[in-house]
Amino acid sequence: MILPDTLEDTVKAIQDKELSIPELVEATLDSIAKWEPHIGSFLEVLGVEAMAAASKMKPDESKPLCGIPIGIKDIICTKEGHTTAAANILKNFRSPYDATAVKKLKDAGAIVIGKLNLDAFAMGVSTEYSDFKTTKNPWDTKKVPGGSSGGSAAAVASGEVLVSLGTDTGGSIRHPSSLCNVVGVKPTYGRVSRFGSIAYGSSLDQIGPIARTVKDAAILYEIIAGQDKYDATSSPEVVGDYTGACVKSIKDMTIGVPKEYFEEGVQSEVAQTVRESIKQLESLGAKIVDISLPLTPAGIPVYYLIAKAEGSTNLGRYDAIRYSPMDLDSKTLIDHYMEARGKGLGPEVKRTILMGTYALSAGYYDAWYKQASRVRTMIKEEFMNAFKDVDVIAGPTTPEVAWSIGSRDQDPLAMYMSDMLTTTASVAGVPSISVPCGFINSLPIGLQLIAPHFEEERLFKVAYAYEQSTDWHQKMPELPKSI
Amino acid sequence: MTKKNISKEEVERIAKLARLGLMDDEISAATENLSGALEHFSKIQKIDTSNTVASDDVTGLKNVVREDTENSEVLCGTGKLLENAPDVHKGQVKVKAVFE
Repeated sequence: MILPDTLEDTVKAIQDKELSIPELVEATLDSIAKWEPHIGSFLEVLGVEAMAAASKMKPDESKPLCGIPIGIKDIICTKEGHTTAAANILKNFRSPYDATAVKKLKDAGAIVIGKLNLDAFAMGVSTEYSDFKTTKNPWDTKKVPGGSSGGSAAAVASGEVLVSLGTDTGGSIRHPSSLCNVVGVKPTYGRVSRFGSIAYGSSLDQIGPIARTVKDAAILYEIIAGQDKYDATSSPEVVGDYTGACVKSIKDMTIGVPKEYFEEGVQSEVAQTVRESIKQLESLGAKIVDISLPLTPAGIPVYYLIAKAEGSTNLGRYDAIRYSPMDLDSKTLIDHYMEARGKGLGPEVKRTILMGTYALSAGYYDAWYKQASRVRTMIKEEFMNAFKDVDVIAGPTTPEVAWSIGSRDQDPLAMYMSDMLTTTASVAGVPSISVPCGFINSLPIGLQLIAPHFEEERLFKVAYAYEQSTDWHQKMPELPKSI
Repeated sequence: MTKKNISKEEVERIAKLARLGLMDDEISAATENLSGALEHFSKIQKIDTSNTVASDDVTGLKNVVREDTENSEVLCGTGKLLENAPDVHKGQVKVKAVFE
């Protein structure tokens, strides 16, 4: 059976009864079975549950995602299956409730098809820090898919699923989207409820969609956005018309190009490819303006100090008592904590705890955490000033294409630097999208667009116009012949 | 100016504060990794922030409250929550002795 390529067309095929929901779920499971041995994007495939849900569903026009199988990053709680955050210490955890974003998708008719791999607790940029396995890039299975939402991006890129949910703290949706040739959206902080997303950096975390096209991402975004009584940091701001924003004309848009996004640390081929995509935006009628965001290099220190500080606090709750049994020698509670956390947590998670505890500890707090929070204000103000003159900011999503699995595992700072172009939008809380913009030696790269708070419509508009003038989103990786 | 590097003893002290039992080789690696990262991060200490306030919230939300009424909606009961616990005693999660 030949399935439609996009969510938009698949929804239509279901509503028009050209395709039945069980047929679609079965075809999705077939595609997963075909790709999984090569890429390993799933931690758990929920075939039985999904088929059972499909058999009970009928086409229903009031449900915009009726019968659509969707993959969920395994840090987002689902009633079905486990929710492990790819961490040993949560390996047996089954969530008693759905995250709000998942509940909203299910209410719209979506079916959870499985849980997707990530770096444990979303700490990493490659899925190599998953406690269970490394996901491979469908474009070259010797390369990383990016991260932390690497499973979510690889599953969409390979065609295992049409859409997935990821989470983005400092780039975790945009980064793997760039490395896997898919569209990924990092919402304005507070636009999507964080309820049910296992916390990393609470002032940064956001759940967002990953899809093959801009319109598909907008469809999902419109459903998951909005205020939620279970997340006090979700915003009362009115949800925009994101699918309606997907129009081809961008003649009224002014796009700022920060010179710092093309400087030291950014591969020259990446800079060149992204500059070509910006020329394309100009040829579509947008006005291109050179701008400067001098605080861009402060993004990595500010982001990592804040994220690790918040992460160390959020990880304080993991004691290996309430969820996963561990075979330990400890006799007392304090020894149990030391041993369970020492044995149950992975290397990057331990670095988070150490760095965060250090940055927050007496004597160091002012110099590290507080200073980072102050520079955070300055980064936000720098964006706000830039947006007085431009509607959207454009640059590369990642400074590089996918790298070889295993080539960086001893160098955490090199890993952190891969987030150099995504972290400033995260600390400022502004929305951002990554859209496929080309290939370098057969490896994909993404164009990043950034807009002011709650102006996601501008992102969808520019990204859609760009995408429709190219064919990058139509390119699909070939299934490898052997493992 | 804060010193940039972190000593092995400091890593041990922090690990204890964070209830994190580390092996000797982990402490050595962490000391090296943290020193390297902090050295890079120390560049933000050169930025003049004397006229800037710290940001905890970036979108302007303030004092989010709900109406002071009884909330009868329960996402799930205690029984369901306890299903995850490996060791349960009379409706409570069983833990090791607090004192020796």
